[in-house]
Amino acid sequence: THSARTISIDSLPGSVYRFNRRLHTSPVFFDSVDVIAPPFPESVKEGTIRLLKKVGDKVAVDEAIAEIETDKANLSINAPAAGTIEAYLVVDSDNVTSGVHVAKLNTSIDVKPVSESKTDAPTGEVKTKSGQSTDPTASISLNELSPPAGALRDTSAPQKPVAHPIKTYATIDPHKVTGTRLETRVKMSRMRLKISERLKEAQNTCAMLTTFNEIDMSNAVEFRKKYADQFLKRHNIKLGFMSAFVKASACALTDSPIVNAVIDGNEIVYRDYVDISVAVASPKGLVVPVIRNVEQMNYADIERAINEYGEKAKKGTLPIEDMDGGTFTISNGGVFGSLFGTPIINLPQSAILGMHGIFDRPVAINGKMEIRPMMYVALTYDHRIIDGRDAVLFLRKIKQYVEDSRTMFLDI
Amino acid sequence: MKSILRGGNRVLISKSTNVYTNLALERYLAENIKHQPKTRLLLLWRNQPCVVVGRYQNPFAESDIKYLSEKQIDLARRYSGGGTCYHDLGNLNVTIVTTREDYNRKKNLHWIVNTLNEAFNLTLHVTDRDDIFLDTFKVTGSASRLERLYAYHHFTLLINSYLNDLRRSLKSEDQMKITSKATSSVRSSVLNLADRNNSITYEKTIALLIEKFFQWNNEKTTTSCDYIDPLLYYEHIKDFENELKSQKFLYQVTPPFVYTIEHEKQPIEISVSNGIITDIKGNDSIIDKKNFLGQLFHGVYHNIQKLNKT
Repeated sequence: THSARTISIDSLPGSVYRFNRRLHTSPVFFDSVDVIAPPFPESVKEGTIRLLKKVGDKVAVDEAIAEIETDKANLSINAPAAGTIEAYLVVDSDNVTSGVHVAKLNTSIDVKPVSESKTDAPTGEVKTKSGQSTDPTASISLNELSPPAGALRDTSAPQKPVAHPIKTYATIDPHKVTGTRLETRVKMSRMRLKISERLKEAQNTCAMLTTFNEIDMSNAVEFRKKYADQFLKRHNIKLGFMSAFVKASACALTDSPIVNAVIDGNEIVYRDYVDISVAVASPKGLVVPVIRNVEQMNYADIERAINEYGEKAKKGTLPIEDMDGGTFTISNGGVFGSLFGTPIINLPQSAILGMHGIFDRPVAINGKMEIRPMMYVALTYDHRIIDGRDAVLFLRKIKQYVEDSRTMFLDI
Repeated sequence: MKSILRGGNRVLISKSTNVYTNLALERYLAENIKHQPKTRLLLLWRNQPCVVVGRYQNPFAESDIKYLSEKQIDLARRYSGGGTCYHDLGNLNVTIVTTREDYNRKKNLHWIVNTLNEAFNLTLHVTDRDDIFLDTFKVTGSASRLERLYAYHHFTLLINSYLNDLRRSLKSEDQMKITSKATSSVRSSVLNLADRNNSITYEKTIALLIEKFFQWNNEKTTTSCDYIDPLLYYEHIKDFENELKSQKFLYQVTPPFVYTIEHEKQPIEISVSNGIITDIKGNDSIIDKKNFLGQLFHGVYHNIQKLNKT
């Protein structure tokens, strides 16, 4: 038997296809998966089964669908794949033995057939298989499914609406502006939703303001030029400017512990360590891994850490715990050519340093005009715990430590 | 300070004494830490006075709900199975988290027994129900949870708890009235370790366990030991904590049961499923069914008690 499909072509612009699908049985398409209980621990023989879902519930892969309680140990029975619970083969609170067949899981992508399968029940067949279309154009989502003619429509099982508005199939590229006066709606990705949530949270929580300053990068540029080769030879990585800023920030944070602290409820939590979050490019976007205990690191350690994170980010192997925590963040807009700007605080921290591009500018030095490579820096801080004075002095300290790194040794 | 979720042999001591926070923290750590094979995480915690029932138990059958609310003793349900216990600051909670393959409850209990016996000159032993007894008295109750990739075994240790409060809280008048397939506790007489050796304190015990834990796992240093303030991880644990505190989880995940009361020698059977009264069998003239059917059992509990007159 084959699936019957009716293709009707509308005269609307954009040629929308509508599919009518019929249910068919075919032994080739078998999407029912058996869920078996694993062996019980500690050679226990019996347990009590507790069902956590109902027949017809949709489950994700690894989601718990039942638990077996043996004498004090609870064993979780998880779905081996995403799907819908077709049937439970045990009764809730029954005594069971290990290896018992707990449930049947329908893993086909199409949810509807589960309810339509109930219409087949009178024929005595418990197992029903849904049809998988092999037609490549079926990858377009179905606009509407209609049940086989004459079959009872089962409305008892709750179903998610499958309907998509016809507009979705209008063929415009969301990334191009072509002037045809059409819109495309694209659902926000999880990552984007999370980012927007966190940004708003930061805005709604902190009393955010930004103080600015500028840094004369001449000494840093010269220092880097002078020692670049030696550094590369010894450490096998390039000496950049990030290490100078990261170390300068760490020294400034050690000097001004309030900037390294954070508000928690009605308490201020001071930390005796400096963990700096540094933005790194990854194929998925910007990620912010944390360099830990920067107060104990030198430039080489810092460059190495950034380099390692960069590699991991490129490969996509950056573990989530490396992005957790951090007492301060440094964001570098300068790589894109930014001149000036206000970064946003990375919760749950209290301040963030924004670095911008290095541009030659005329500046006044001892009454004379000179051209120097200058960088504007911005410190956005939470005014709830950091006062203006502290913020300004903190940023000035960073300026000092970058403009003349020897001052870090003087502890002034 | 390294990331809180790294693997390896570690000890974490919770700074919170809130039972919901600690249970949420325990689950968060167990689910999210990158457990390495052949290593263990030791989590040490204690709570303000509370009663903790097992995942599939009936709180009404296990404790005196009215007394708990009068004395403001928290009621919590944990994610692992087993029986009910009473916690207060004299009762140490220990959780050992490992990969699923390394789960071994007996090894954990024997380690505790050997460590405590040697240091405090006691005669503890492990029973075949995986309890720890001192002569005929129970000092430890265990429960475990096994997931696909990890497993944890947690147990309590009575150091110097208020045993009178314990007995009073765990006394249930409703035990006889409830018929169900919920897990029931196996009751035993209890004893504090400090009653047998009055030099034992909470502080001494945790110091001892931390030191011996690293030796047991062949670690040369004890540096992987941290205090953890769960409030700093509030964002991560708040969903678990809210679930643990919710009326739904406390009362409505109880397995279905029948609560039988007597009114003037006539029995009335109240069937409860998912925390909601689904059926009442009995003389219709006594009980106004409309007021009770479809209601949450724990919500109308007091009214039901009033009907229970012989």
